[in-house]
Amino acid sequence: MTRQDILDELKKVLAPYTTNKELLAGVNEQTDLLQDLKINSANLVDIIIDAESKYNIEIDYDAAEKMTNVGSCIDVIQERLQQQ
Amino acid sequence: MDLNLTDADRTNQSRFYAKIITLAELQAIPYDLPLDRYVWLLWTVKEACYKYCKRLKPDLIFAPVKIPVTLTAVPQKSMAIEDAYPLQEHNITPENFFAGQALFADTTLFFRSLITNDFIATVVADEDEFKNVYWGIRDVADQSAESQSAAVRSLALERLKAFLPGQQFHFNKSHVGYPLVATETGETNIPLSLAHHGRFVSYCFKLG
Repeated sequence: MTRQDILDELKKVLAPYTTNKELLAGVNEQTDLLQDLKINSANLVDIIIDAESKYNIEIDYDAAEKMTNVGSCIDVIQERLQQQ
Repeated sequence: MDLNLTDADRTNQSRFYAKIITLAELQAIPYDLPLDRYVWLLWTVKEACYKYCKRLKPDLIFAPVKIPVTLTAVPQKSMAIEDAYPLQEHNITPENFFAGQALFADTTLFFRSLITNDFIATVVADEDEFKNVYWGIRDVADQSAESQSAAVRSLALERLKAFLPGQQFHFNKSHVGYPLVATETGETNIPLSLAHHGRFVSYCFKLG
């Protein structure tokens, strides 16, 4: 999967947890999950779980703690996909 | 933490809670506390520790399983619980309160938590007596992010003014996102934490 492919799917993962749909539609790799998308920190584990299901990967917490913005999320997901 | 926004079935799945609590913490669960409530209790403790330590070390990253939490008995008198929430109105009893300590970034912190049917609220401090630590929890009708933010700021300001009348407080934000208490003469050294989730907003600050 290309980074764009991953991003397109990632937006669907993030959508239930942000009310800022306009910003979500126009996210870039620097978009911060908490500060920009206003995702509540209580939903971070939900996002990890949903990403695991979406991409059929496993994300341990050493990797998950890096997922603070869209770009780092794509990095983690891409790395996990390549390990398969 | 607004418990009405959590999914107990999902929380009780090992693939979910294993990202928040360790095996040792799982094995220490109180017999009379449902697993999902325990998981979210520890989540609030760990997040509070992270927010506390991030003020001192801005580069810290939130990694729940790396913040071990231990529950202890709740001291009879430890902090100004009475003003935090209308306890009698909501039939809050001592069994609703939890206490303990956590370790993060080489710092031991102590916590007090209140669990109701609707929310979990946690405060941390660097000493177990919680001297001069004040907190408040309220439910709000408008759950939009902007409204929650405004509501919790308003509540915190009102409480600060009650302790320090005559001061014109306002809040700024640090470069890493935590709130700063300021007056017209500049920033104060009053540590303040704000939180909002669903119907509930909460604040905590320490004076002196």
